[in-house]
Amino acid sequence: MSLRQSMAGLHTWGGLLPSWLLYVIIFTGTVACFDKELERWMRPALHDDSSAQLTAEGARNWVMANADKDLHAIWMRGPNEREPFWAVHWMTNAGEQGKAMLDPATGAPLAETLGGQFFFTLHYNLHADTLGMYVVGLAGMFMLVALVSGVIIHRRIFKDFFTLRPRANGQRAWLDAHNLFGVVGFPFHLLLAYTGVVVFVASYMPAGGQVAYGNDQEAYFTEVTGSYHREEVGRPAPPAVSLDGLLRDAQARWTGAQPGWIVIEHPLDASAVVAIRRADASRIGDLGGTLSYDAATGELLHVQEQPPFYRAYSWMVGLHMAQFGGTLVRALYLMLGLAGCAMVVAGTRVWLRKREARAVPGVALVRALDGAVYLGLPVASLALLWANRLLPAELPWRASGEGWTFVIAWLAVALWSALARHHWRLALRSQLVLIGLLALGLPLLSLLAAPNGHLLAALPRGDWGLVGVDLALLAIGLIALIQAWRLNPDPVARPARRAPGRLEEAL
Amino acid sequence: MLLVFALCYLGMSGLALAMPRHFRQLRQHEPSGAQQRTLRVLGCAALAIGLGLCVRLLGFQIGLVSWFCLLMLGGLAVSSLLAWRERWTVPAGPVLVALGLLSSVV
Amino acid sequence: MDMTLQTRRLSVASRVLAALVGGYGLAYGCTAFLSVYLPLARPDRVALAGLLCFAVWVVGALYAFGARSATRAWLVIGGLALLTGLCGFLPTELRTRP
Repeated sequence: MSLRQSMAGLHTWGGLLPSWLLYVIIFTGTVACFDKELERWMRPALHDDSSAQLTAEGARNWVMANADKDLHAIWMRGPNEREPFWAVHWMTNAGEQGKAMLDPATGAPLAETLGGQFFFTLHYNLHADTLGMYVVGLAGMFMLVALVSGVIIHRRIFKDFFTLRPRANGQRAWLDAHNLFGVVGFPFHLLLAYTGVVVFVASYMPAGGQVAYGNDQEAYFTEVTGSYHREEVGRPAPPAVSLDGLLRDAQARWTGAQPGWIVIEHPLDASAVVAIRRADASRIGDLGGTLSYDAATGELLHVQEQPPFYRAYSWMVGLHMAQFGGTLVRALYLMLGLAGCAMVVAGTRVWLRKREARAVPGVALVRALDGAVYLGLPVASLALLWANRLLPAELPWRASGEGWTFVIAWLAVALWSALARHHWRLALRSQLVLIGLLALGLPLLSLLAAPNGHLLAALPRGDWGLVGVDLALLAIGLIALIQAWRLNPDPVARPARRAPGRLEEAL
Repeated sequence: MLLVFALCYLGMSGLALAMPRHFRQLRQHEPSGAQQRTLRVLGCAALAIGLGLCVRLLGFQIGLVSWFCLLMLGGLAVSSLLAWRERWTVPAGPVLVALGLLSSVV
Repeated sequence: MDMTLQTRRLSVASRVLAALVGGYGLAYGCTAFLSVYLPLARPDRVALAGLLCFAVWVVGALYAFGARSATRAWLVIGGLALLTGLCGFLPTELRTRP
């Protein structure tokens, strides 16, 4: 077997098997480019600009009063333009975790919802904690191998660079599309897959910590990240200095950069440390500069200085997370992420078209999975947004209600695709119509359910975050309906083929 | 930024039309060697100007990343037009540049 | 005929394992090796080794399928993994130098 043949086999099967999982990861990652905008969209309490009243001090006091008594650490993030609320997370010494989002105007927890965070979490661990994180990492490795082997087997990368022949026979057209999205978007796919697996390198590849630090996790993290850590001393903490004063001090030291996450380590112990991280959207990565203060005296203990290659790591993670360069970069990532989805979808279509004519086992399964995942996930995501708008905000189980709506909608589409696998064109068409109606309905539903957040209210305010979500939903709905309308449900009754395009003539 | 995208589009369409296959799509004859070279040089020049502009607007690192993204999207746009609306491929370039100039003035 | 099909299946299964398990082992060994021998300070050695290890795995996985035979793939990938791993873990003094 030649190298190209063996790589072709690797690309075909190593690409097909994880393609549905990769689609889920890429799709949710694409949505998560605007997770914070979605988060606010899903929290109508944050739709009108209200001035922030809750201070850092107030947020800390809320955790102290409401969390368990043996607090190990608190993480808090203050309101900013994209996330106008306080996010607080905490962990107890027993390892139990809790979190809340606090309304900056009232200081009370916001209504339950899964929020835009749902898509981000689905992207990096499939809502399956550590196991999910490893599965996603393995899928990322499959993607890297598929990308590189794809380049090796491609015979005419530059000659076919711009070639797309939608009117050619099915397999040719899908192969063109697969190649086009893969080759033109190659730098993006490769970098995002690589930086994606790099994010959790400490978990995926523990060898470095084991060999160079004798498996001492604490020493490893402190030295590699250049951060500060102080052991507990077992005495109760004296009264803490004002957090807001520390924040002002931090801002003065950074000359301009805003504070990001604030971490309070063992707040009930005399050794308590307040670490204030820097949020700087004008740079690609977090380049350090975290300030560690003594929680009781306010003395500055340590300024984080990242070692050069940890900076390289932070830069790669930053490149993946797209928290720099504002809406422009996120919009570009969104579109290139869609190109990634298109590459995956076109890839499985090539596999199918090549084998449809012969009765190869697995064709029906692949086709059913295509329908179940490629359309099931968008339907389920839209259903989740519907649940968010329909379930009353004060419902204590609204978040889990949204989650169940997502799961049930996805299962329903999966079942539908499996049952209708012999009439898949009809199923595809109806599913596209469903996506169109769900997407177009959401901005209308918001007119009733989000009095300050719907298009007519947000547009005059110039609230582009909310307007953007609604406009995107309208665009998705229209595109889905147009595609459904153009899709001929009965291939036999297809009208005479259009005259071949000039590209086919030119070949 | 629209101007940077316009320049990326222009550059990619220049590179595409420098290939005989796509040149034949729009003109009925083969491109001459000189035409190919001219298209290639003009295409690369447009891309370089776009890169310079993007770096000037957004700084080196973020400018470079954004330009790469715009470059890839420009390539996808050129391919889509060549596939579905081949007659629009060439006029779309100047139209985009005009819109880009207009938006950078406004 | 049956024999050859069976041998081919075994060969493919062996290559898959070489790519997944062997490839990870190779990446693991190389990370340990680089974390010890790179001429850098300890945190930089570990960080840089971590950044490179996935590229090593990708190359290993591609080689598992590109090699002339499955046995050869295992010999090269497994051998290198063992070699780099041993070189990384054996010298205790060198390992933890700052």
